[in-house]
Amino acid sequence: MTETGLKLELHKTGPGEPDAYVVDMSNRDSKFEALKSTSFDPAALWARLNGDLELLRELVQIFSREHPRLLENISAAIERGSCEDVRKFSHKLKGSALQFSGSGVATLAASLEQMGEHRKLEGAARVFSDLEREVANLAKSLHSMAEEERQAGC
Amino acid sequence: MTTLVLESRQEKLLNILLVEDNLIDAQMVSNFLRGSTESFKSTYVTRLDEALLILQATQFDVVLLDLNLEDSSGYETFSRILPAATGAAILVLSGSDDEDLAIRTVREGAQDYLVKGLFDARLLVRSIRYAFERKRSEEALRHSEATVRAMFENSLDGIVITDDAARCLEVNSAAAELAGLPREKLVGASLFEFGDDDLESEWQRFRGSRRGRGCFWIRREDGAKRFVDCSFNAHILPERHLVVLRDVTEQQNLEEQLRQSQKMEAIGRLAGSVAHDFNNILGIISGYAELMQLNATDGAQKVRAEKVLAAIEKAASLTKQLLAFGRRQVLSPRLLDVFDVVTDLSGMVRVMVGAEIQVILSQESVGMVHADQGQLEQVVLNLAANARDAMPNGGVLTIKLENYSSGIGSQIPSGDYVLLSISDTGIGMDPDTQSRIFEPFFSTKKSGSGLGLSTVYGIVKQSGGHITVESQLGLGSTFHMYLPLVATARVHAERIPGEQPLHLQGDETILLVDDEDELRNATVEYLEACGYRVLKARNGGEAIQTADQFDGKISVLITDIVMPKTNGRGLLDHIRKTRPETKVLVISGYADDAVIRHGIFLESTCFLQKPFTFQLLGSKIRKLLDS
Repeated sequence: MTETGLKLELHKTGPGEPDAYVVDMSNRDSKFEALKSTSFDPAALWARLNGDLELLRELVQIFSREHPRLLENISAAIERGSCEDVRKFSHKLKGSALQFSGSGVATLAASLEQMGEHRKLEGAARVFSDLEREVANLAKSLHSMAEEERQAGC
Repeated sequence: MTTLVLESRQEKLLNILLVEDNLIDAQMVSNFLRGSTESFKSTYVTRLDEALLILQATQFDVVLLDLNLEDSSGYETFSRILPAATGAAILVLSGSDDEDLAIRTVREGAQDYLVKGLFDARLLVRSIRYAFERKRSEEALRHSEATVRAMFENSLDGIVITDDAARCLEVNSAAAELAGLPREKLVGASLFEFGDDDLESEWQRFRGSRRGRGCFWIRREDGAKRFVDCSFNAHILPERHLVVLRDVTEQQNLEEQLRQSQKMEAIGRLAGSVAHDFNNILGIISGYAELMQLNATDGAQKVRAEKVLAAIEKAASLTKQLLAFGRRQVLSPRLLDVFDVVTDLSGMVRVMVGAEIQVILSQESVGMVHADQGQLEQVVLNLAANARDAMPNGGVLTIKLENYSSGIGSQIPSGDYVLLSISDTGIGMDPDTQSRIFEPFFSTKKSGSGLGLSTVYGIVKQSGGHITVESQLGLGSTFHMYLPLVATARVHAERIPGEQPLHLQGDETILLVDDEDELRNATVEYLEACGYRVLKARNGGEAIQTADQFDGKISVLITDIVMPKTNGRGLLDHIRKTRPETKVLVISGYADDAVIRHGIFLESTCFLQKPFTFQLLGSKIRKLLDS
């Protein structure tokens, strides 16, 4: 168990290959129960950030600033049928969502990424609509989390 | 581009390049690094082209690489940065939990593959540290491998890695050259294919002892044989053995030549010594036989004495050959045109070898040598006789004469030579026979004395020359004689005038010095019978005393060279000082190093080699007295 509450298990692999690390998220802090959902795990995020509120606020600010542009890029790509751009911008959004433990956003972004990769954009607009909603929820949750922590810190 | 110098508590400050176009990821990673206890200097770029540019100018320890960038994505990003980031450990940070991609990048050089959202600061820092250490170990290993590989490739010795069955798994170019095969053909071949039959047992012995060294012959692909010094190390890895082969053929040949030369020298000394002692005995027998002949009272006695003398002559001929081999005969060298000698001899050679053998003279105008004509003729005749015997069913005998310059690397010492080559198309010789042919009494013929070639060897050596032989079974033999060139232009060679009969009587006083009592007494008896007054002495000291006490004129001093007490040289010096008018005749069983060391100039006119007939002695004395 680490100081951040993450349980790291080292899995030895074959000769010449680096070791694989598996992060066990089972031990979570229960203080973010109210924000926790099937699409967002605030405890895991808090643990990864090592309880660094400042970093959380910085990241939330960046996310708030960046995600509209990313969504706009994805939307535009779907509209013009650019599979490569759909894949690329969705992948980027997925990466950010993963860092925030936003599995809901990450899953939907991954779907769009797959569509772009497989060059099949049928249904992409509907998925994008769900994604917009999930991103909004995640942004809201992140803001709440940052605010809660700020108040708790005071 | 942002550069942050973070904590500096660690001894080694790791220079990190973060290639990430996602601000959130970049911020998070930067923060993770900032918060760690390690020392990192971090540089951040968002595009691959920026990364490639900065990698050209700066050496980074670690590259944290997101695969999906604005200007590149996926595996392509990795493959493009890999060659530019040599020396840096690459850690892939990806949003894709793509197992195949992870394995592929790691196999091709990435140190680790971390999925975004699944690592925290501690894991990231530890991964960076491990990646750096692994990379450093890899670099050290690569450096070591490069060093070993360079040594392997550039070694002048053949290096072979084999399996248990002696099959070549890895070979260097020297090994391929040694085997006379391209490397790709040598790989997979068994070492046993190149060795003699005993190589397999040697191999087993090596493997048993784990480490060993030995010398053996190997056969090249072209059939040539090379002598190799082999060092063997078993099990340098499981089922892998190291064999290092050094070609020592030239060294072996030189050593063999030296051994051969030393052996010939030793045999020569032995033969010369035996001949010398034997000559003294023959001299005594000859002397008394001549006296018997002179004093014979009837015809039968005279005939018996003549038969004894004839037998002595045959014996003397044998000892003369031994002395020739031992280089202890007295030569009468003079400026000689070998062209003339060979031309004059060719008729005799043709008669000697018979009609079934074609004689070819291949002569070019050559320079002059300093040699004894009679001995040189003997060389040609001996070799011609051997050639004839080697071609019982006929063939071709070639006598070739040419100028030859020996340079560095030749088995003949550097210099200019007249090269006399005598070749036949006969039965040839195997290597073992070739190595022994110059030994006295070695013969492959049923009736051979075994002295022919040893005489040739001795004459050539005593003339300052060199002799080599080339031969192959069934293909004939060639003898090369290299005689030192002393003058490039042909000059008219002096001809020795024929011997004129001389009367042997005289009444002058002769001082005779010889430590062989019997020979001395017989000689005195003969000389007195010729009318001379003879003073005798057993050694140099006695001779000096006798000469000093004698008031009259001593016309001739006849003396041996090597004697106990005062030797011949001391006596000669004394006589030349005290009696400069006295003529000197040196007699000796041989003209060996001792004679030459004593600085006695030996000319045919003042030297007589034992055994000699009294008639020859008498004529020499008269020649000296009358000259």
